[in-house]
Amino acid sequence: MAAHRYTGMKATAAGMAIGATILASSWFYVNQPASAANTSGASTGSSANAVVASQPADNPVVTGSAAAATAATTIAAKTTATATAAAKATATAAKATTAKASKGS
Amino acid sequence: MNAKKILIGAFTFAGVILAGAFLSGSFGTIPWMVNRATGLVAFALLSVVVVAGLLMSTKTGAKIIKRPRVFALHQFLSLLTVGFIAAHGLALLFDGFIAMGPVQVLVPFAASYQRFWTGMGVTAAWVTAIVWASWYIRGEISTKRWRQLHYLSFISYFMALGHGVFGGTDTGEPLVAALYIVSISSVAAFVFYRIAGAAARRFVSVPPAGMRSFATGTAGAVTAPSITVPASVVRRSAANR
Repeated sequence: MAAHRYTGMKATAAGMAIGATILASSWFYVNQPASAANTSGASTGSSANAVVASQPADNPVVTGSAAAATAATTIAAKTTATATAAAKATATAAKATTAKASKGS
Repeated sequence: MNAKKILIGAFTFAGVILAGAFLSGSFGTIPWMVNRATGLVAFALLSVVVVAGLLMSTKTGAKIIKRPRVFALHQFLSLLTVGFIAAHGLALLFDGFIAMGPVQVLVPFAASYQRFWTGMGVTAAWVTAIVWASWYIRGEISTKRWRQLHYLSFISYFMALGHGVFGGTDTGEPLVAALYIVSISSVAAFVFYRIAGAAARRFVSVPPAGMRSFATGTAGAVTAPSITVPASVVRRSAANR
C-alpha cells in the first residue's frame, strides 16, 4: 500500500481542499446580501432576488420573515385605517365646532 | 508525518473552530456557508477521484504521471472526499436555515427541504462511503466483486452531480457552473474513451485462413487483406491448436 508514500502530494491535496473550503465559505459570507439575516420579507418566488439565490427558497427563516413582513403590512394597514378614522373624527369634530361657532355668532 | 496525521490535524482544527463558534453561540449564517463550500469541494474531490480511477483503467497519461502516484492520489482523495461529505452533513446540523436533525442528514429522502435532490445527495454520500470502505475489504471479497462494487462510484458521481446542480443554490454562479461543466466533460470524455477502448479490444484483425503475406519484386510488400473477428474467437482458436 502507498499509505506512507507521496506524503507531500497528499498534504498538498488536503491543504488545497481545506483552503478552497475556507476561501469559498469566506466568499459566500462576504457576498451574502445584507438582507440575508431575517429581514427580507419579499424572498418568496423571485429567482432574481439575491436572498433566494443564497438561501433555500423554502427555508424556515425566510418563511418566517415573510410571515413577519405580512404581519407588519397588516399592522401598517390597520394603523393607516385607524389614522384615517381619527382624521375623519377630527374633521367631523372641527366641522361641528365651526357650526357651533357660526350659530353662536 | 503521514497523510492520516495530516487529516486528523485538519479535522481537529476544524472541530476546534466549530466548537468555539458553538460555545460562543454565534453561528449566524456560518454553518450555511460552510455547508455550501464543503459540498462544492467534496464534489470537486469526487470528480478528481473518478477521473484518477479512469486514468488508471484507461492507462492514459502514464508517461506524465506514474501509475503508483495516480493510485495513491485516487485512494487518498477518496478518503478526503468522504471527510468533506461528512463535514457537509455535519454543518447542516448547526444550520438554522434548513433545520435538519441527524435523521434528515443520514436517512435518504427524510429531509423535507428539496426532498428528491437532497435524498439523492444523501444516497450519493452513502454509496461513496461504501465504495471507499471497499478498499479495506478487498482481501475478503473476490476482485471481480470488488470491481463491481467499484462501478457504483459512477452512480454516486451522477447522483452527486444532480444533487449539486438541481439542489444547490449556487449553480448560477459562474465559477460553480464552470466546476460542473469541467467535471462532467472530463468524466464523460474518459468514460467514452474507456468504453471505446474496451469495444476495440474485443475485435482483432487477422488474415483470412490460408492466405499469407507475399512480396512483389518492385512495389514493396503487399499484405493479404485482413478481416476483423472477435478476440474471443482468436483465443479459442489458439487454444484448440
